[in-house]
Amino acid sequence: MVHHRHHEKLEKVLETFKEDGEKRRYNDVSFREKTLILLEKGFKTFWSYKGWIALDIIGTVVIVALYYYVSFIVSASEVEKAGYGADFFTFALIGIAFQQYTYSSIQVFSHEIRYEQENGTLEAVLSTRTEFPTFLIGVALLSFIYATYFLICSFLVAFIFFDPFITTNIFSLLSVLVLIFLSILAHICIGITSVGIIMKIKEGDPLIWLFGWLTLLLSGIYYPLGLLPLYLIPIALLLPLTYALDGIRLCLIDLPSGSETLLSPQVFNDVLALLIFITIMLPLSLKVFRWGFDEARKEGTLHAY
Amino acid sequence: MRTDELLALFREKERTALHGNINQITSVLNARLKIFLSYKIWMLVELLNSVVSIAVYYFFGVMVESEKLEAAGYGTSYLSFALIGIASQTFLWTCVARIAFVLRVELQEGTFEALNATRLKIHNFLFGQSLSGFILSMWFFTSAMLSGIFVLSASLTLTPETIITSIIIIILMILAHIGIGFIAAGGVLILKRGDPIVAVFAVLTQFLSGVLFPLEVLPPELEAVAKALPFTYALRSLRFALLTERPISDPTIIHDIIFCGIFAIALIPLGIWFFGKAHNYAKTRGTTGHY
Repeated sequence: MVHHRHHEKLEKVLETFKEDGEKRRYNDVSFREKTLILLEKGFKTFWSYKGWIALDIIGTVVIVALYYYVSFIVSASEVEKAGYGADFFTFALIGIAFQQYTYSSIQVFSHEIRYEQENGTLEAVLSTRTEFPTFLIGVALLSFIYATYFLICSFLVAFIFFDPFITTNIFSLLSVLVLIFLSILAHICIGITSVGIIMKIKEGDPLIWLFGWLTLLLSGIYYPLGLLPLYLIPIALLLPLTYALDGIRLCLIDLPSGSETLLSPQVFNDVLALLIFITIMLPLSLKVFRWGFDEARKEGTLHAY
Repeated sequence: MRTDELLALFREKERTALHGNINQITSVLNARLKIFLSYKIWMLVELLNSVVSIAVYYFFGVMVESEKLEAAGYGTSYLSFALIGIASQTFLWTCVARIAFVLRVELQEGTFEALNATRLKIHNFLFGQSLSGFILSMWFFTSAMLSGIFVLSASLTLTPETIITSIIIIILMILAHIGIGFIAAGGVLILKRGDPIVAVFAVLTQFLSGVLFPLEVLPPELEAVAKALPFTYALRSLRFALLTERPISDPTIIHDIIFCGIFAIALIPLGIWFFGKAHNYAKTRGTTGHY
């Protein structure tokens, strides 16, 4: 009799721990759903800062306008010599807009990880059944959408007020999309490597700092590479943005000879260089990331920054 | 021990009001400087950031048509022109934005309420923070200028007279804008959000005050807006002093100094008044510990 009562109690206890249908459904949440949940969470936070969104829009207009007026004191001869047409403003617009876009793809992972670490929410999220890569993609997605929105905004502002020389050739525009995709992929590799390093050293963002400085100075955002001294050219040629910007400019600028496409040898070489960069860096970045993640878990410092 | 001896131990030393104020300001300054110095990597990174930004204009300057710069009265070196523009703009907004930034950190960490419970006067808190912001910005400004001069060979005229003129202009430039910093800090206390006021001013001055191009290239309607901003005048005088060796007695420089002075006289009391009101607002609602 007593034994039977004990058995009943045990059954009840076990029942309590058993997942009900609803819980099971929750645990079976797909990758797509989790990503959308994270995106929704990010959007809610983002939307609560409407003042900052307005400021970002003003900032975009100002940056575009700034270089429009700078173009009045700049001679376009160096830009023309490099094969990018005779309009400095169009050259600078593409450089600045795409540099900001690709930079956000480097920064987004480390920024989000640091934010979650500082707020102590990273360890809580990772103790759930959400995989780290799912979490990373989910939190990064909003930043990409936002960066894309600003890229479009920059070009819209330029079109409405400053009349840049941009092509309407559909094949050139499709080639630009391929180059943007490859450029983001190349820069994501740097972002993932940086997250691996941050999780281990917990101090700053050394890789992104270095990469950011080199890119700003050497990849031809504000001036053609021909203005750099010869000894800096090899470093410039190691940076993916150098190739991305060259290809995007050749395809997007309405040149007197017509805009280029992926089929032109120079753009094809840029694509090839980006592919080589991705082939080398992608496995390497995943290795560094795995190392940093494992080290942080071993040391129990996933939450710390 | 006699009772009066015991009471004397607890009695505060008599201090004049001035001594008390100076003591409070230097205490706030000391606390902030200790925090700055503990972030050595951050300071180094920020410094390298400004050096790289200036180096960009070293190469960029090759494309600039120097005759257009010369026609505006700023000499022929675009690097020197941009160096002064970028360094002073960074200096100004690092200094002015600092007050609201620090206040936000104090609110987030819950230390502002603790400060309120002490006898610290709120205007001493403001001036101590401003002074620490000024010292920090001065470090960045000096380092950026020295890197520009010695690493990138920017051609600035550095004589005792131009240096003194520049220091006077810089101090007036900060005083003309610091009121905006106080208003922004007040905004943080009320709204519990970041400070959009400083950000809007920073963006506007970057564009309209001629940081990267002479004002002459702007259309007349935008030039009129630019002429209402004190930074436009401070930057013009700073460039005239350091690029073309104009003395402090130069009519344009005197005009610009007076203009910045008027802004300082108008905005500092307004800023202190607004911050005081915001502080009272937060205190009466018991929100000095929230963010």
